[in-house]
Amino acid sequence: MSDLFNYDSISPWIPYLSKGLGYTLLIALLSSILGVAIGVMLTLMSRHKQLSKISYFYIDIFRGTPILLQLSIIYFAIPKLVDTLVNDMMHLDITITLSAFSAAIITFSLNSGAYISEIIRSGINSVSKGEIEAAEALGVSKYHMYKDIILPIAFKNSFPALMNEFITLVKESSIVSIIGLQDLMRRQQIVTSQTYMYFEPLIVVGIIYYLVIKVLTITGRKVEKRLQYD
Amino acid sequence: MIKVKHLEKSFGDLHVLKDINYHFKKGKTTVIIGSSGSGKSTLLRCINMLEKPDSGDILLEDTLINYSKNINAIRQRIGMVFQSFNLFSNMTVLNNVTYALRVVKKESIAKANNKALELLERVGILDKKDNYPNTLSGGQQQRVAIARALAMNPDVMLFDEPTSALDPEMVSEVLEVMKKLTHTGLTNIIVSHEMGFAKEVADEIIYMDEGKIIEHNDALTFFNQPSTKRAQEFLQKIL
Repeated sequence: MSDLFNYDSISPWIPYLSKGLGYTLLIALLSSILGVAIGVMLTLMSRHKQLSKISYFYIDIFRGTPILLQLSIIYFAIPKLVDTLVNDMMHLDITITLSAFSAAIITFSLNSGAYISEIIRSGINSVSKGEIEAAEALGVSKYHMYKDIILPIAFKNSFPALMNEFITLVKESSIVSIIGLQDLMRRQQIVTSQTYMYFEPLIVVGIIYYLVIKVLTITGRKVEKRLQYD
Repeated sequence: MIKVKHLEKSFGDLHVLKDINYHFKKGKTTVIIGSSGSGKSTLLRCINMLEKPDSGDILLEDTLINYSKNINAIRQRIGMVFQSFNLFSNMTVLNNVTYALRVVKKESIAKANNKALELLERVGILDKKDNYPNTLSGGQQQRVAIARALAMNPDVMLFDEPTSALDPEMVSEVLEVMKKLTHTGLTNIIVSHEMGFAKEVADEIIYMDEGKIIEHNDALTFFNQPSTKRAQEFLQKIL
């Protein structure tokens, strides 16, 4: 190719760059699973009188600050803070380390939990009051009502939003490059520093992101269609 | 069958039911009529505790409904059909009818299916048994809802304006099904605006206005010579 995109120089680096996809997907997958668990917990808490305040506060903080800040606090500040609290105040000598990978999973799980709880909450609210009343009128217990009617309908209704959250996680996970985790973005920076090429590795990484998200979007739509009741 | 005594209900400042007393007799069909906001639906919804009365008693035979610890056991004996059908959107027609049989009455799938198929045939919708509700017309959905309520073998059926949300051409198919339920031993309590239907099927008519029972009588007497001025005016307006 031309001077614009030097394929020959970048091609040996493509396998190295692609390997970053592993971290990218692993972070998105683990964080969304933990995020759903946290989200369901927050939703249940929000239905409780006292606990709803904690849930509201949590969601407010995590949605009200940038994830880059949250990641920095968890990776750089928390270990130092704990170290100060534990060692200085209790006169102990314990070393606290948090790997970049753990910090990334913790941050993205906590963050997506806040968003997912909102998704689940609106999913539950989307179940018609009439269907719940019909179940009540038949003498169906609360447990069965949730298990067989409310949650399945809520899940179906919130599936597009949950898929969207997963795709957002795939893209947003690129910021873990600032704490040195070798995801797609970080590998691009490494290749650039070794080869002084900017455009080529960026484009390669861009194409990988785009293709992965395209596949996820198409799969999501297919699943969504299969979930329709007709 | 169902006795209502000194029933009172308010929504905030709105006093919806004012000292309602009535005895719904076993095996009879009672139609409750009255203008919108007169408390008809609220009265019906108090009978199976979808609304909690503020005071007064409701008895199903000798069981006090509104202080019952086990409301679900009582609800199994009282079927309800809603204005907006309220079929479970995530279940097929067949599963809508069998669901409560399976999870509430713990019947086997085979037994529940047999009963459901029989009922779906009775309401004329057997061919749609594997469809999901959103593919059915309003009239079809309402007939499934009737089958779903009947599946529990209730002693009492409550109908809350069952044809009000239907297109005019579908009203009769639902009324036909309901007609077949009268004089079968089932106690029917129907809130309806269909006066022709009320005249035809009702043993008793209750006329409500502003949260009170203004007049109750057998259907023939009520429609021919209503004794209260308000009922006379109401009938003049709608007939």
